[in-house]
Amino acid sequence: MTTVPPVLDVRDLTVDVRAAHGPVRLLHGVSLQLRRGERVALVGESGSGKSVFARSLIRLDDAMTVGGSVQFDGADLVTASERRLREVRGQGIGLVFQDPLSSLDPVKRIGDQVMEPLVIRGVPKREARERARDVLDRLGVPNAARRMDAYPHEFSGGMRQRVCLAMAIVAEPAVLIADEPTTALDVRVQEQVMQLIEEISADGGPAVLLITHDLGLVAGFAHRVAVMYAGRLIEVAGVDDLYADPRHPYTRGLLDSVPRIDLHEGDLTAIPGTPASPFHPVGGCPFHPRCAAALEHCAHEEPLLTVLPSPMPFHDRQVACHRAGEIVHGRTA
Amino acid sequence: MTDLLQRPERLRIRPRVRRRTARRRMTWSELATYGAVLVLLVLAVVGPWIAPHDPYLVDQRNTLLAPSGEHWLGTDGTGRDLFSRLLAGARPSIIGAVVTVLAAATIGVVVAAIAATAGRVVDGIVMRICEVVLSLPVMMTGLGLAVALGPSQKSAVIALILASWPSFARLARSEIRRVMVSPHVEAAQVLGVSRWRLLTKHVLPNSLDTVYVKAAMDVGGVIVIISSLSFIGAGAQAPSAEWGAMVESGSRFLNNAWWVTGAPGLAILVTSAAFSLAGDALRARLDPMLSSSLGEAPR
Amino acid sequence: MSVDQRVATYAAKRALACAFIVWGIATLVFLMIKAIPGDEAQSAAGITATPAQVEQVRHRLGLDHSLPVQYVDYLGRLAHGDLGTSIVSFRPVREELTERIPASVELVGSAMLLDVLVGVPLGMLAAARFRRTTDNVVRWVAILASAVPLFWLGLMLQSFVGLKLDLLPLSGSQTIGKESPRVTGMATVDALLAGNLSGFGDAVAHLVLPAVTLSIPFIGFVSRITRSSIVGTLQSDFASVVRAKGASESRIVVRHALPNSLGPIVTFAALQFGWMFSATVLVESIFGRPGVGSYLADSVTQKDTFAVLGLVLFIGTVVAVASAVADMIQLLVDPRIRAAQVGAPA
Repeated sequence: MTTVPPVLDVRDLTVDVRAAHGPVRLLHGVSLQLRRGERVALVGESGSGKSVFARSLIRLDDAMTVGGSVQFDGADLVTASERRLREVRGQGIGLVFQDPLSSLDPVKRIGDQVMEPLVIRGVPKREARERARDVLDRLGVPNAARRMDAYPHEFSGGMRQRVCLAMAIVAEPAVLIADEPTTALDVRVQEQVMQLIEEISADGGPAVLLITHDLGLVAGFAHRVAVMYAGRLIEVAGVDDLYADPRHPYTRGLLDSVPRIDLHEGDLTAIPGTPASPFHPVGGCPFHPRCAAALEHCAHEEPLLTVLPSPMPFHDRQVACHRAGEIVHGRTA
Repeated sequence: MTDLLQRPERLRIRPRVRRRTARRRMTWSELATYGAVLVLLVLAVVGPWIAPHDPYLVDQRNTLLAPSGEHWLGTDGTGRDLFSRLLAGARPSIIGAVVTVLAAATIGVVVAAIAATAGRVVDGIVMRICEVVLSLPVMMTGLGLAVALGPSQKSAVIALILASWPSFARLARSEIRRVMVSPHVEAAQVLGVSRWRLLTKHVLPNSLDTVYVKAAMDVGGVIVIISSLSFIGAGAQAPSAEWGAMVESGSRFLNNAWWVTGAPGLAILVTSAAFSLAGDALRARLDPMLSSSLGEAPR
Repeated sequence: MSVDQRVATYAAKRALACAFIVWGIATLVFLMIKAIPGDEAQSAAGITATPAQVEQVRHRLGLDHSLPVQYVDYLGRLAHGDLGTSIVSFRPVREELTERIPASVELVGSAMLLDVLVGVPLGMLAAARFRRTTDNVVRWVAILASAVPLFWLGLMLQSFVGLKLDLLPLSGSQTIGKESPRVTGMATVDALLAGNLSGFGDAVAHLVLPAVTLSIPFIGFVSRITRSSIVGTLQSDFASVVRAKGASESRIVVRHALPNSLGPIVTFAALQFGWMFSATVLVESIFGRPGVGSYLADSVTQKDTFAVLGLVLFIGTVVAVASAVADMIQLLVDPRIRAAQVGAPA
């Protein structure tokens, strides 16, 4: 497995935006690999930089200055030409956003919007329409052929998100990035959409990067989990390892704030303090002001993401914490 | 707490007025536009006094002279010094427009405040009136009224005030209603702050930003309309150095002395553009949607 | 109710609102007439009228009745299409007006065509190059264009393009001897109908300067409206989604942002039709075109107050109807508005 080159190889990705008083760093050197058939979840509080990560991979925003490297399909997307990027967008990497209503052009018919990634690439209208219909069918849009002539406001929230999924996968990308795809949906519909994404990624489908703040979605879905805090990855681990044995105090805090069937209600706790802001960076470990296990040292030196030795093969995990070695099950030994 | 409720007037629940103005430095182009407006306003006041010649002195021997050292912009059809007339004309042209906009804005805000607080019937009637007046182009309302009142600069200003207050009333009303339902105003209401105090201390200060911007932007347009009215004879009359009237009287000599028409028209263009640019700069400053880059966006 | 029925209901409602506006304008004009200082009958009869003639006019206009009665009478006359009588030519305003409408429609139509063809692409260009040099240049050009006094621009164009360079005719709507028989009253259309090609070229040549003059300030307005509307759309979420599909920036602007911005643009274009119609008062007299505007300008010069007010009322009505039509067009081009106004189809 390790010998297979990753489909998406992000190394040391940095993102800055211009603000009133000079540039502000939103991502501080993030590295993450995605392998074929893999489902990875990127979790963190809102404002941690998850969405910025997704958008900067294909350089969606002009205002962002991107550094580092994003290897995809033999090219570095950070330095690639606008033309090359347009080829990758949609066809190489598909994106699904949080709010399905605002993701759709309100004055265009559904069918035309689903066909668009194909039409842009010169696929004949008739063929594009057929393929769009097939994808909508597969995603469980009833009466797809007829519904393609409808407008977004005539669809329910769940159906709209299916349409958005269809737009993202119709050109058969190698990577699907879903940015909070269920946040705007009812709980019941959430499950259906997650189910669909899982089905899409099965048997030869795209590798999936799920971005979410909801750890409850991750457990049954992802193979690996990357935890982001203040624009840095602070822990990356296999899903079982992470749930069973979180090594970073922040990961522990996140898990404790999610209701779980195997724990009593009284055990729910919130992480104290307020989330980090890129506009007010702190020295040392970005989490230290909120960390119960923080030592004086933590305020001065930023811990790097380092590999923890694991007794089992393929279970390498990475943590960025000075005390990772002492912490077992999220608590100091 | 009971003590507080009994004397609500002494409470100080001042909203935190969110102005983004102070945060950004002025750019050189903003400075230039504000500066230009300032210079024009000063000229409008002192113009007639610094004119090198008497702007109304007829000199039949020296008509339609080309620009020279003696007459910087030449002379008009009756030998009056064009440059002096331009300076003298700054007053009716610019001050006329500024007065029009200030009066229209004041009337509009007062009417809006009444409409927003007086109840639905009054509000409905006021808004219907505004709707009717606004459906007529300002130029037409102005023209009709100015002609009915008897063509003069005063009639033109009065007519334009009557034609343009509703647009301010409509804007101010929607802003006032928006602020009225904001949490800090509701909090003050619950604490029993008097209606008048609520309006003057809490609502109006927070709802007038867009009115200022509109006022600034409107001056440029009103300058053009006032001069248009003079041009067709519904505004300032013959000997007046009002710029529109000057264009009209110059137009008879178009084929042998185009500058007599060109100069006052250019003055209108420059002045109107300066006010519009200043209004635009002000809007960019006060409008959070357009002025915020990604970094400043509320999180 | 079916969608068609709902559309019809909406149209009826909009027509009613439009009628209310027209009634309001009529009332406004009635008040303006009452604002005329001095004896209204004397003004209406003209300065040269004898006392007997004045009394006759007073009786004919019902000015010997109370104000409410006069008001009802006034509305009654309007309902019959009576816009008043000129105190200079003693002709009914309506008669002269109908002769002149086609020429104004011709001018306003071609000016609108020009300004949409130039203004909308200019706004799209600025939006696509948001906050870059092109955007700034377009902004300056637009502000300058909208600050231009029309009457002055007309005179300058006339002086340089017409007089000095002798490229285009100075005034009128066609050269004497090249006219075609009057059918529609629009010189260009009449020439085409008569198969008179040189006459058509001549009429178009006469139309160029006035149409360019009339359109320039409006090009400024249209480009700014288009720009801000498209910029708004480009910053919305779905624009990101389309970008993520691999679409080029120009495709996003043309295929997505423009259709989404059509609503404001159409509304503005309709309002503009009214404004342009009222601006013909400045342009037509300069270029000696026999339209509604030059009639209005002449009436002002001759202090023909009743003709002026009758024309103001007429133009007001044109504006009100144009804006109602704009709302109906919006309904047709924008499914969101259709949904909001008449409900989504089941």
